[in-house]
Amino acid sequence: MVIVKFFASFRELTGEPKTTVEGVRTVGELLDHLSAKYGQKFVQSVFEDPESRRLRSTVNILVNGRSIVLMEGLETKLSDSDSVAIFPPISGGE
Amino acid sequence: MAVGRVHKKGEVDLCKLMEEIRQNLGTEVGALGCFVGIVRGTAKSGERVDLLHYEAAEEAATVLTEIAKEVQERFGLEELQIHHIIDDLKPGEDAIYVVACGKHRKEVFQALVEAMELVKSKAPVWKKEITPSGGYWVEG
Repeated sequence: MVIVKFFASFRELTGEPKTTVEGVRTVGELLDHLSAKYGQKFVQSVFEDPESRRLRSTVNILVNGRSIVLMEGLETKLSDSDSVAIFPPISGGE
Repeated sequence: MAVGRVHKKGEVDLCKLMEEIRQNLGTEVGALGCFVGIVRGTAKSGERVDLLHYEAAEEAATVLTEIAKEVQERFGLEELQIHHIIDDLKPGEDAIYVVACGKHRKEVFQALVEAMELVKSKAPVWKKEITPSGGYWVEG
């Protein structure tokens, strides 16, 4: 079972701070599962282009605290009890 | 000492914090600097901000402590404290305090700038501006 935490705009979009998902082997499969659960708004917030599966630059996905950009992107493997965080860019300011 | 904490509104008082720090200063300290981040009353769009809603991941305090340690070591400071207020804040209210204590002013000034740069880019903290036309997450 993978634990998924949502922050800021993603928490509002999904309507919950976290959820659990079973039976997914990669981050890509997890996003497919979440897209089916949360619908088009989620898809649009995550993917620049759902066809090519290119992620938006405004979405950050961490697996156990490590960015998937530093791992294998959507092919990053998931194991039971992994923790995934999905959030928008950190609020900067000048 | 390196300290990073998150607070609700009213949990941290700047005057008391400074008093506490000053009471424990070592004899080597010749400079104490403080940065206060304040909620602005105007959004980038020019619209009035009624409220700024802050949200943080539970790891935020740990990240702030790591930032404080990194900056303290880099500038050879005696003390670096970061206190972020995570709550619904009105314009004019304080959102963050960074206090640096070191031998000389130069490293203290630089440390304050560096600490804030790291907080803005690394700390898992998000803010939503509540304006008369709606609420908008401030991103990037």
